[in-house]
Order: sequence, then structure tokens, then C-alpha cells
Amino acid sequence: MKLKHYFGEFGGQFVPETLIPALDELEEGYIAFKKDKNTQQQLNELFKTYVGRPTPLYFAKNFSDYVGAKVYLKREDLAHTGAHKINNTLAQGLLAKFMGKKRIIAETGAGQHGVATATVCALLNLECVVYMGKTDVERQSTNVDKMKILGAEVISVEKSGGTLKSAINEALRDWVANVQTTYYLLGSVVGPHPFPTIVGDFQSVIGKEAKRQIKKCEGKLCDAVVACVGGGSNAYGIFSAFLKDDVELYGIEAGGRSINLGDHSATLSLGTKGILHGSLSYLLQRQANVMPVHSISAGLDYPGVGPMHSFLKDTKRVIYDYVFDDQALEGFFALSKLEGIIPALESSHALAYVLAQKEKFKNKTIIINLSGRGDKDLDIIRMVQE
Amino acid sequence: MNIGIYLISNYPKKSTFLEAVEICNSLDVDFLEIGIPFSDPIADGAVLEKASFEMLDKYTTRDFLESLFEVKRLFQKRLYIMTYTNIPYSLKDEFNKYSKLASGVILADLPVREAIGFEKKLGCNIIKFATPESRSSDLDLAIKSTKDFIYFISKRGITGGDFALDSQTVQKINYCKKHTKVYLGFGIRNANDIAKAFSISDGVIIGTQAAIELQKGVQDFERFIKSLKLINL
Repeated sequence: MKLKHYFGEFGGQFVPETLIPALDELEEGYIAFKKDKNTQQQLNELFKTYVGRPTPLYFAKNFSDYVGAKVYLKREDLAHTGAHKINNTLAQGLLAKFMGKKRIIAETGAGQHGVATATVCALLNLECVVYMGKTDVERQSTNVDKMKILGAEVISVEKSGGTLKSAINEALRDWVANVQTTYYLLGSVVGPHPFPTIVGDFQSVIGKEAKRQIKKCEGKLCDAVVACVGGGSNAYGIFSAFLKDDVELYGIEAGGRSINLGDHSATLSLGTKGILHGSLSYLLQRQANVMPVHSISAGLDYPGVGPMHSFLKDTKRVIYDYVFDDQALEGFFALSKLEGIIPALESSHALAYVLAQKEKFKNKTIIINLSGRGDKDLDIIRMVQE
Repeated sequence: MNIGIYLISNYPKKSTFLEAVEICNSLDVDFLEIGIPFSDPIADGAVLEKASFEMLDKYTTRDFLESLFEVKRLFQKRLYIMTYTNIPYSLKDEFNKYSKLASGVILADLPVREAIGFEKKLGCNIIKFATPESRSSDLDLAIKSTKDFIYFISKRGITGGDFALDSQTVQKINYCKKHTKVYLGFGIRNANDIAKAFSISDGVIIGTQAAIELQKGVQDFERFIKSLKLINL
């Protein structure tokens, strides 16, 4: 292997032996892809004209006044398909094409990664199969409709809870069976090496832009960056540019209904080390079995987390904390009413943390990664309000 | 020639499971592979996954592992533990007292390159895999680190399905066989499959079909094991 496949003790390749040559092929393909000027140019052009990058860094004056800090929002909600997920799917779609693969499989939780994958497959003329937990299919029906319109086949997975975890299990099974023809387009910084590295790299565009933008706005760096963490791709995407700077980094997980195991998805805050879906990382488990998780946001309810986040937690470079469902809702409504921006429930966790920790952030300049927009969550909001 | 039967610990219930172990012992099965159910069995097909989930609703991981002591008492020949890496990783030292009962541990999500370092940590023999996808460097690594046998996964995909080998896979099996024992698993269901497998390997592991038969009852299970013509082999 040519790239580092562990982050400290975290990461690795805990997958069936059948997938090892495919993971090596992916790593080699990725290295060649990065060196290929034509595809890099194509990616940059599509980032600009298709995705709408760079996304703005918006100074949220009303929200700032409300919390007593200077708050900037990195507007990933304005990226095509409404979330940061498209950065990774576009780049991986081009990588798959570069590697000569014609069939794409993906998993999705909230449906954002599924929609972003289906979008890119439509653009690049690739066959697309998306695995989605049955519970998520029901609570994110608009995204299911979108994927179908875009030409993807959506497979509903009933087994083991019917959420993101089950979808990844099925996608991995599909990949093992069809490894010769299929590219697995993983949606977060999770899974076996080289996925965390690849997805982290493809999302790093968020942080690079934000750093450039905040310097331009403020003439210096910000004091803190706050992002929500499920698998951790938007958070790593923005954090990665600031890791060596004197900037506080906060990763906010889903505290769900309570801190009882099964009621939340706060893997880094409340989990223990374990192995799931190909990598060693923090994990929500009991007696070595992975536990069901909960969050009001479908994109955060994952019992594992990207291995780099586990490393950043243990080395104390990033502070990981959590907010509960009802706090996330406060964040959701606060931004909607104060700024006229309806945030995704995932991103609302980051907003809620700043609301809940006003003292900590008082008079500081912070960037909140607004990873997605909230249109997809309206069914959940309606249900909660009823 | 070796025939190994895969049984999920305590499936479909503890007493039936232990009867199945006794049947395997009396019918001279060469080794048993005892599966410890895991919440996310990504290498298992629908039959074994369903069985594992049913067991996880009824028993704890400790119950599955404790049953190994009884298996060891009832079964005279070799015993292997099959599970997923998080079980030994997360149980740490506690797992050692169970792994000592077995000739080796088979971890479905632990490829050879990770197994080599993990074996030292765990302090027990970990069975190495080869597959139709393995390149010669993968086969060499498996051969070099194998102390017992190479578990050759006969097909791309999960457990269950049909048993068929393409010519390239046969070549890979032959290559491994020059250096170490090779057992074939995945998709082997009956005496015909076994005959085919024996012509090119040292043994077979039968999982899904054994679980299907045991689910019907111990008589069916016994009839099935006999149908494999174990005694004559």
C-alpha cells in the first residue's frame, strides 16, 4: 500500500479477503487520478459550473447578534443537490469512470448521499444502485423519489434496524459479489482504507475554500470551526484545512433522546473502540455487538465514525460533544427564523451547539459548516410538531 | 480428506445445537466451526444472517462463547471459532479463555494482511483466507503465514448460493495446495459438491445447508450429515 492506512491506531481494512484486491485497485486508481491533469481539470470545472463552487461564506448577522458571537456559515447547503455530499460523489464518480467501472453502488442514510450519487451517475452515464434502510426510505420519501427520477434503482433494506448501518452491510455484500464490475461509492469518511482518505480528500475543498474566504473577510483566521458529525465527512472536510492552525475545532454529534445506549448516535462522545464496516474506530456497542442508534436526523444515526475523527479525539485536536434532538430543533428554527435559511437537521446540531454554548463562543469569530439544507426534513418537522 | 460442519452457537436453541454437535461427533465429522453471532455479519448470506439475528435476540455473546466448553466436551476432534473481528477485539483478554479451546479462529472480516498483526495481539492461530480474487502476492502472503489450513472462499460473494469453480480459481487452489492444506467453503451443499471439491482440495466446510437442515430438526440434520457419506470417506 502506498498511502497511510491507519490514523494512529484507527482505520485499517477489516473486510472479507475478496475485497482486498479491489481496495488496492481503488488506491492505485485514486493515486493515478490525482496525478492526471485532464481529470483534475474536469473535476475543477464541474465543481465550478455544475456544483456551484466555491460555495459562499456568509456572515450571519442576525444569528450572530442572537448568540453574541461573529458567526459565518459555510454554505454547503447551496451546493447542487443541497448538501456537501456532491463534492465526494462527483469526484468519486469521475474516479470510477477513470478506472473503467460502469456500475455504481452506494448506501444512503438521509438520502443526501444517494441523491448526490444518482445525480452524478446521471451526469456521467453510469448505472446506479442505492441501498437505503427501510426506516430511512419511509422518513425520507422525497429523496427516494428524486433518486428514482434520476434513474437510480433504490433497494430498501429491512434487516438490522433498516437504517444507514443496514444499508452499508448490504452494499458491502453487493460489492463482494460483484467486485469485478462494480465501484462502491462510499458516502462518508468511514469504511476500509482507502475510503476515509479518499472521501476526506474530496471533501477537503470545503475547508480550503473556507480558510481562504475567512482570511479575505476578516484579514485573519477564525477562532473556531463547528461542524456536525455522523460518519464525519463534512466535519473532516472543513477541519482538515485548519488542523495545523491555532483554531478550535468542534465536532457535534447527535445526542438523540438521551445518553442511554440506543437513544443517541454520539459515537465519539459516548462510544468505545471497536471494528465495524472495515475500520477500527469508536463504536456504539454492547458485548461486542453494534447497538441500534437514534437521531432526529437520518444523516447522523450511524453507530460508527470515521477513523480520523477517533484519532483527532484521542490526540485532543478536536473537541467532540453532542446536542439532543430538541436542541437540534431549536437550532433548526433559530436559523430559519433569524436568517431565512432552513438548515438540514444534521447541520442544525452544529448550530444548536453554538446556541447552547453562548458563553464559550462569546465575541469569538466562528465558522459553522452548514452542510445541507432542510427541505428534505420537512416531513420530520411536521411529525414532531404534531 | 476433511469435512467440517459450521454450526451457529446455540442455534436453533441450545439443546438442539448440542445434539447436533453429538451427531457430528458420532458420524465422525472431522472438524466443527462454531459461529458466534455478530450484529453486522457482512459475509453471511440471508440464511445465516437470519439465524444469527434470531440467536442475538435469545442469547448473549457470553452465552454463545460459554457453549464452547460443552462443545469441546462432546466433540472429540478439532474445533474452530468463526466470528467477526470486533468480537475478539472488543472482548480482549476475555476471548482468550474461549479461543484456547479451539485449533484456530476464523474471522470473516479479517483479511490476511490485517490478520498477521492481529494474531500476535490475540495470541491464537487465525485462519488465513484465499479467494478467486487473490493475486499471487496475496496467495504467497497467506501461504507464508498459515499454520493450519488456508480457507479458500470458493466464490465471490456471501455464504450460500451455488458451488462452481472457474479454471483460474482451480489454478489458485492448486498453487496453495503445493505449500499447505486447502479447505474450500461457501456454496458447498451436498455429496456432489463435496466430491467435486475433494478432487482439488484437502477438505470442505459446509455452513448454510447445515443450518437449513438443523432448522428442520435433528433427524433431518442427522440424515443430511449421513448423506454426505462421511463414514465412507
